[in-house]
Amino acid sequence: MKFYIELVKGLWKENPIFRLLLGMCPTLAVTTSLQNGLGMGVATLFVLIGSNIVISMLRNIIPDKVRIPCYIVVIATFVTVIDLSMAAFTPELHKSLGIFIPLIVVNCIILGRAEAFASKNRVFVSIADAIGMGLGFTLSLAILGSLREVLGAGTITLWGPSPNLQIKTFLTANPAVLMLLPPGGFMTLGLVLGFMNYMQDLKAKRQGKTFEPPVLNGCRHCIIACGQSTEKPEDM
Amino acid sequence: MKETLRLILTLTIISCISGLLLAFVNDKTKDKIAQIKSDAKVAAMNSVLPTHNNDPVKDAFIPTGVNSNVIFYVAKEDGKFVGAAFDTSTMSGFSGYIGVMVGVNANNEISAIQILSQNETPGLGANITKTSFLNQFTNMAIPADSTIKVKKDGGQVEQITGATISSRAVSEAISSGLKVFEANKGEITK
Repeated sequence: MKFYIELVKGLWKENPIFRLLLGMCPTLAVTTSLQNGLGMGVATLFVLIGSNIVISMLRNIIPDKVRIPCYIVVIATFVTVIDLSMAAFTPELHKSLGIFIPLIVVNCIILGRAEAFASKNRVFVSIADAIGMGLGFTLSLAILGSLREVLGAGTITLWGPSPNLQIKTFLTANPAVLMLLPPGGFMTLGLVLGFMNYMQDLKAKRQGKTFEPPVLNGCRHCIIACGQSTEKPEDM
Repeated sequence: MKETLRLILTLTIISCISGLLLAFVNDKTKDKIAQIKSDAKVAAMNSVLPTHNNDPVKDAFIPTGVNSNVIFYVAKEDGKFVGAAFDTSTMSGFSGYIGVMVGVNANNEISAIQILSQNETPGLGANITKTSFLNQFTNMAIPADSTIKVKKDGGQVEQITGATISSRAVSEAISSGLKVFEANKGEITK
């Protein structure tokens, strides 16, 4: 049951992009097409599962004072393994994602999950957390990627240059290229976030309440006593 | 003291294990990656060269004396010069390095070009790898000053909308290679 709860929370309630607003740099940069969004999401999912397993296993061994360097070494190792494997076995996808694969190292979702979850939970639930967060990230990137691709290029590309996997829309002839440019990324993300907040307000209103944003987990290293944490803050 | 030692030891051990794992993965994948790269290079070379029946890699010409490391892969049909391919590069892309394979033929024209490697923005600059952009260079006459320019700069290449910098960088890379080609033309075409 705990496995299931940790798994689904990443999809909506604690969705890394739409709820926690983490990992904005790759989000804005790679979501120029559905294919890039999916590829980036899946690569991140693998790194996240690997790093969560290892960090959860080592959580009692790593001293607190060097935990960040240790996490980064573990994450960087997994990213390099994925980078090399993709270059060797899926050269096409590796080529289209270019520089963004090595940049997974500095994706704050991965360090965030290591710090807030894997470092204080058992391996089994950490895997659930990684899968949930990874899938949430992948889905969000896919949504943003397909929106921007439809508006900016007029196509939906599932995979590669093959025309069978590409759907053309009436926008193909006159696409709004702006949506593929950096401002388009901000606009799409902002509109989707606004829409999601509106939906949440609407849902709360129907139940006769006002919407309260959920209190986020991860109080372990916070020194501000907000009264929300049941754990004692550690000395810094 | 004891605590400091523990910090150093933990990080060292984790780094060592990571290093070992990376060495192992690198060892398993490096041949395959090198193979994919050289296959891509030979495929790009053949796609920009006119029909030939020699092995251009064997007949490669390396210019001496010129301050450049461009290698010319010379294509011959029955021992007669039909074209040459060379890979050239520039650092002035939107994300730095762009490698281009350029083919020239015996009629003083660019026969075709291929992008070997680039890290341009997906969806914008990365469109320099699309055929609609690359086809403009097919059978383009080499100008007298061997400089290719985009239309915005008064040249002949239609730049990609929203990716003028990438288009300009490709033109620059080709121009720098063409200059070496023109300087060594006598040697290469003989």
